Amino acid sequence: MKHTLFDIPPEADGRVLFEYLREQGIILQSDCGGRGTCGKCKVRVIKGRFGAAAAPSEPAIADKDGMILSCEAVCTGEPAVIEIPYGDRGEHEIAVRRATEQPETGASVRIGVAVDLGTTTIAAALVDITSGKTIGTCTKLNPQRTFGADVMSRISASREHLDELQSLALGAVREITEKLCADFAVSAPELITVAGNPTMLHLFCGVSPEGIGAYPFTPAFTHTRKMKGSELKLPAENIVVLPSASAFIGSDITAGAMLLNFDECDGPCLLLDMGTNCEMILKCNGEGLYTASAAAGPAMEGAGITCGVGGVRGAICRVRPEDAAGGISFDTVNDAPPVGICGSGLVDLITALLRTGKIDPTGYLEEEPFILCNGWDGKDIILTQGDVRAFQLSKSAIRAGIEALTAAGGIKVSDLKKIYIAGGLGYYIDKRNAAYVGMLPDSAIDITEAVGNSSLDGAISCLIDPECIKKAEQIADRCENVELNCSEVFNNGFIEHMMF
Amino acid sequence: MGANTVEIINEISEKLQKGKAKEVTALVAEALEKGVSPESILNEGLISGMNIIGEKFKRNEAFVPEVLIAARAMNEGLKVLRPALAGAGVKPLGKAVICTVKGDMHDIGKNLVKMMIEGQGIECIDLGVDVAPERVVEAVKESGAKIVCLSALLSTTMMGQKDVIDALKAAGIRDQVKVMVGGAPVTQQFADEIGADCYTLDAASAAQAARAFFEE
Repeated sequence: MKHTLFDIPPEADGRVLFEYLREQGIILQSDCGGRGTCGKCKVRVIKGRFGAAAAPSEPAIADKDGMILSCEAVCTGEPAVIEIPYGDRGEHEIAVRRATEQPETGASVRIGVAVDLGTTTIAAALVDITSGKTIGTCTKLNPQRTFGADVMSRISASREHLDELQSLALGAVREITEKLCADFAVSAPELITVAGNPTMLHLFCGVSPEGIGAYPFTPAFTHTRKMKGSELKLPAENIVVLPSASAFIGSDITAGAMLLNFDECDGPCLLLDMGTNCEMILKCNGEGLYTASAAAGPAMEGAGITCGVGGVRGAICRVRPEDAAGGISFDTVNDAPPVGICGSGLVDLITALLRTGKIDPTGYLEEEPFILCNGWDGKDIILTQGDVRAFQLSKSAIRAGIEALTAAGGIKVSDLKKIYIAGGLGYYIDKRNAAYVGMLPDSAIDITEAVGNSSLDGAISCLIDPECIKKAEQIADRCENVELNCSEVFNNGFIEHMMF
Repeated sequence: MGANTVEIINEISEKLQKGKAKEVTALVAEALEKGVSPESILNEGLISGMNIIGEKFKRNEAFVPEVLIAARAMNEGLKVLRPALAGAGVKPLGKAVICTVKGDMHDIGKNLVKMMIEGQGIECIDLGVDVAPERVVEAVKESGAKIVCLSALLSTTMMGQKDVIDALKAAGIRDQVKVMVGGAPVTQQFADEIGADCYTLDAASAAQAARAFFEE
């Protein structure tokens, strides 16, 4: 475990520690956006003292390990020293990967960068536009996470911090673009294409996303935006922000549907992107395209789960019951020591506990907490009753969303010919287990396919061929959005599928 | 109470906890026929059963679907019981106005709270979702409700709870009601900041707090 000591000077007097640190460039994780509920922004007080935000004359309350919540602590004007614990979670790293097949680089090489601007992770690809080949890719956690894990907390934060949110997004894109160009010794790109959910795209452009935050969910823009790199101080000649369909269906989804050739696919097909909101796009028999966004909560991304993590190094991503006695074995990402449980691991673990009767069909966990293993830092990796409940909400929202969307399109779930799952989760998720816990219908087992980062791949296509941007626009124009909160099918299904 | 009476009332409570609506209604009818007092059926049968499932919900031992089916059974039982309650002069504890605030379409959490509150013998006026502050003010004036319950499920809409409190103040009726707030992003600190009277973490606690307001 890496630690960083940090001095808090007297000038910080009266400031909330979390906000002061953010201004100093110390980006602490905060799933709740500084509301004091997630516990992820804890720091250890080495010297000095801090007041409680609610009542500054009272001291900030430390936990048994001597840690305080930085979002609930106020600096006192007394010089202090705090220790910031960074987990081995690559919070500040850019992970660069070289493509296995390298294009032949000539003098006339045209360079482009495709970006998938995710709420949690930003992924980018350096592309030789002429040959259409990818030279290298990289990922970085979105630094805006310090304002909260989900889009709604970013929207709330944008009321006061729009400029800061924009510069965090631009800074991250600038940093990864420069790093990719330097690592692969190429000149600055002529074009950057950007795919993402509408909130991320608004923040990237510095446009207030407030209309997305409340019913009737009206984005300020959905169309393709073309800008000069110099306008955004990005090291590229041109920037193209790809088209969105509606408040929650961004270019991450339209680019994915374009890439998967939704227009020409044989029979009804569905693309799922399981984030805090599970976005889905359905193509029915005719021309119709239907979209929806199910509030699945962040369980599948590891947030809101006691030992939850994203699909990072050391995340427990597969769990298998070893024997009838209930012994359990697991795999981690990169076979690293376990740091926590990610979405696919959660599906597997809950399946295993259901099969051995440790969780009953209502979701009641007999022995709480269930201890899975000892983690990398010596602490147990556990599953609590609350974690099972969060998972139940998540999986039933996804399942009910699929039912409501297919119903709106006038087809049955069993009519689907193909279900695509976007994102890293798609590769790790066990389809049988996902059906066993009721997240996917049984009919999904044979027709579900992982498509990886279809948002990034779609943005790459748009980089190489401008026709693809037009195709994405046509898809965006045709999407009809289904408001799930008003759907009786959704509300009934949500309750029905909450049990196992 | 005779042994038979205790037995049938306990059975009503148990069937209600399991969400067996048909059996609950049959048992309520049977108890009335046998001359059990409507008030005992309500308090020791239906409400006590709802309280048990509510406690389990609070401890995370029971979940949303179980509470919903129990509440459904309670409402079915109440339909049979209501004429008898009226006949015996038993009145509802009081009235509460409930809604999800403007800009927010979430229905399920609000319905859960509503059913749990009704389970305490409180009459609920449900204004639905995406409700403007003025409508809450109107409903309070019309009904004379003593409690206002406000749900918000998004961090972007939770300020809508403050808007309602401000509207109640502007209408000069803030002191006539207790304002209860809840929903995933809401915390005790937020409730204090906006000047709400009560925040609870879950629906069962909300129902108990509402009852406590009437018993003050």
